[in-house]
Amino acid sequence: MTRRTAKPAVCSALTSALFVLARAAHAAPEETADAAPDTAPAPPVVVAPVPIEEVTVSGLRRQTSSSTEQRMKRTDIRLVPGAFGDPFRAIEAMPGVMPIVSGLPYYYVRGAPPSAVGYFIDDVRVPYLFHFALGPGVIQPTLIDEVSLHPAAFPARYGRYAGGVVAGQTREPGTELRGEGQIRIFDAGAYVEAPFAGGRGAAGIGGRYSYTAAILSLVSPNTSIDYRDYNARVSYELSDRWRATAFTFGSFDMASQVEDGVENVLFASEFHRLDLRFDRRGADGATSRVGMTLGLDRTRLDGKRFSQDMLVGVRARERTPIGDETDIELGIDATVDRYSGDLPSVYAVQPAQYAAAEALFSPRIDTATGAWASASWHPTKRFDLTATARADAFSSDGETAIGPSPRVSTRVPVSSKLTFLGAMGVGTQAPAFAIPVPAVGYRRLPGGLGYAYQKSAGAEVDLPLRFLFRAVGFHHSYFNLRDFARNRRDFDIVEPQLVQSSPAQAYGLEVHLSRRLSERFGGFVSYTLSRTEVGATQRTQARVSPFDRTHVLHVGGSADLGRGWRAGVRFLTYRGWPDEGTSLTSISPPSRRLPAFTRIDARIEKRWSWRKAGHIALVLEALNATASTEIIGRRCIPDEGCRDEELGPIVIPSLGVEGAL
Amino acid sequence: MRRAVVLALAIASCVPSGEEADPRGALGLATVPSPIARGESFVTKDGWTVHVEELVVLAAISGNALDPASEDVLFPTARASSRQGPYLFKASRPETFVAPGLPVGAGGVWLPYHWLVLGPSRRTNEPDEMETRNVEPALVARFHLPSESFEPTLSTTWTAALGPSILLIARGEKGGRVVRIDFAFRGAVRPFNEIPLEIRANTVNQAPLAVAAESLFSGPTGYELRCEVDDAGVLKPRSPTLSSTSELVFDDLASADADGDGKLSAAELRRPLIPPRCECCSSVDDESVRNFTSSMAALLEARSGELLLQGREPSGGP
Repeated sequence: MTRRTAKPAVCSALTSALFVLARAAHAAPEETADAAPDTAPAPPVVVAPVPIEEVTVSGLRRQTSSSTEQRMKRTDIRLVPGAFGDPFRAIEAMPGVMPIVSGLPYYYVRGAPPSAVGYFIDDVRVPYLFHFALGPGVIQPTLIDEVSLHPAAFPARYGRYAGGVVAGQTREPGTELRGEGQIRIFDAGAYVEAPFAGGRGAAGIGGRYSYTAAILSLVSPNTSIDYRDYNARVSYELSDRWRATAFTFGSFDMASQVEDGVENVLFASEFHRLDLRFDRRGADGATSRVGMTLGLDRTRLDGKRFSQDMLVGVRARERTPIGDETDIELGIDATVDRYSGDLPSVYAVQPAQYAAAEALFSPRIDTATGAWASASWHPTKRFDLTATARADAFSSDGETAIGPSPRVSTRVPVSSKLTFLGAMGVGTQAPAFAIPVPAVGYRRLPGGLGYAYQKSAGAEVDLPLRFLFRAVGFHHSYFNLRDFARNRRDFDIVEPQLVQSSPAQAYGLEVHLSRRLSERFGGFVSYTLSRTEVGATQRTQARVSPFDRTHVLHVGGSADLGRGWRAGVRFLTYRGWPDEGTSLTSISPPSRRLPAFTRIDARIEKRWSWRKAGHIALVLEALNATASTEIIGRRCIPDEGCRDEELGPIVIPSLGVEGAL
Repeated sequence: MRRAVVLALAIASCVPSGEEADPRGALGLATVPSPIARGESFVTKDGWTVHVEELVVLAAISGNALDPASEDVLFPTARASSRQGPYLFKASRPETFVAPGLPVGAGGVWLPYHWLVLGPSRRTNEPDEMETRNVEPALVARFHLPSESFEPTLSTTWTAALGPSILLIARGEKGGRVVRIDFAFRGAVRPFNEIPLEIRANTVNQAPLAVAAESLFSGPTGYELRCEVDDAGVLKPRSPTLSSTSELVFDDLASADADGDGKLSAAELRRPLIPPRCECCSSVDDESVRNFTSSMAALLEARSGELLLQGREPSGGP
């Protein structure tokens, strides 16, 4: 489907060439060569003029690529077994991603804890991507075109995170009515988008509603879980060059338990975003974006208290080609967060608890401002060298800090099939809560900014049959980042002040072999060999991270079986956490590991075509179809021996009907 | 601990706390300095004009939420406790001490003396610092030194590594003679004596705490031994009791100034000075007589048991 959109220079030249050739092939008789003089004139050749349609080919210029990036398109995302079509759950299968526990959407990325991983949708930061309690993503999968994991040296527009960045891009507005819906055993969702104004505009709306409460009541009558989300987008082509878009999305989660007739709210949180932006596409391939984001985050705390964050963000960037080989991008963004929260009564809690609550919930205004300049040099098709100079300024309740985050990444073709990948960079961020919770953040930047020094190098090989092989070694050092715990005895994720320690570090090797899942037979092997260490303090030596996993292996595949049938399976195994022992006085490095975990996810789909481009599909999918349990600890009691602490089995089955227009 | 993290993520995904909190409140004590504690001069029964220049106290507040099912009426068990401090404060200024975070219901609060554990006997969980309230650094430093109640030669014993809990700086004058006391000593280990108070949600319920500085100049004045005939038919001093006076006195302190320089040193205060009263003591060379010869340091420590009077307002004055 084509539209009148901007015409990249190459496409314009191609079109013109086609037009010339068409005219030459169908030239009027008077334009033919002169006839031979002494021959009888040939009968005139009358050729009916053939109308020539102008063909315009449109597409997005890749502007966010980096050598460290791992990207998945929506056609592949929906086929990852165990991801339930959720793009942000599918990234779990990417190398460098360490699950904390099977099924939970919190990850370590190259050793960076969840507090250092940022999540973005169309450059808009979101506090979390998943509904809690093993829930689905907060954005309708049908709205997502692709998702990228940037474990290091992110594109210039992303900053203020020292770990990784997970960035989702929404689909381009459609020119025809389209939509998708799912009805599953625990929730239902849909998204519909329709054009208007002769195709210049498109409006879409969608959402998801869970009925887990009713289902859960069958097995756990006292427990209630509820989640909902909504998405809506309106875009309008102001001209051939300018587009205006309003995009809003939000999420709500709640879990409660009834005890002795009193409902105790275990967790309740919501966030809302409204993003207004103008995009420009220049005739020379330049692109610009100016946007503003309004947001509201709210989380319920204990004792019927709430924390709230009202935010306003503005951003602007311009990417301009300089000649054929170089692009320059300049940009700036700023965010103002107005935090407020209900503090507990000073008489109801201990002084240390009140101080922690003050650190987290006292009313304040936090600001973050970033500016960047980036240059990309791509003298040949597969060669890219991108250098970025970026700095961010943070302020919180009178405390300020500035953190630079320069980075460089490169892709260098060594041969027609082999590409060298390299990246170095610095990431910086403000103190962040160990678990991403909306409207919860530290006041006055306690402990200062966190930093990451990221280094990686590797190679990518195009193999036959459209296989792609990639191997990257990395070494990241982390300073001042908040993690869950250093060991069993240092667990305090509320404490605002970090224990002074030497840097944590993570190093290892990522290997990825893949063939697009959307192929008739597609698959992937993703393996990460790594070690994550926490730094030394005055009282403890450096040690392996309590959440370290030496090996993580995914092997998955999907096959089109014909007649609308498609099946997929994923095998996942990872090494257990270090067994820290149970002695309260032992601080020696662990010599043993907890047992490894293994699970198999499966997906089978039967699809019926409907109308020209629509379909209806019955999808049966299961995460942890093998019902494997995970060992998360070991308790040894004198004279009684040792006993493993098990979690699970966490099994998520899904039977649903999907439809698309 | 990792299991707690995992379960928190799986079930609650919310921190600080995902559970509905029990309603909690606080118990408190508000000091009410007596006129003497506030620095007003007074005249003792024995004719001394005394002025308390500084009276600094180190104490901690302890609040308990009582277990309603406890069967012990006198000392019911506690279902929750809250201990705050220690606080170093001046007796001359009103202060409030609060023990927060107690579940609502019946409770009790009291303010026992505290003393820092110093030197090799110091435990790793001993608080590094006390919370000081408007106390000059020079006075604060006195509480980081061993209590002057004990001989320095006893430094190898556990008791000698304890700091003081009371600092008394006072001046007495009589007939042109001036005697000054500057003494840091350990407070009395008072009997457990909570003030019963009701704990109410999100508020503090507090009781008055009289700071009766005059108690350091009255009360125990020495031991009294009763003379009894032993099995051999010999009259022996037995059954020591502390005799006390309700009058304000200073003669006993002044008499401790052995060198007559007008300054009561710690050594002078520690010197056994006041023999027990008994009718048969003068004719008997009995070890018990020597054992019950009191020093002023010991008497001050005993008198400090009445310095902080819980649940009471101070009396009108001397």
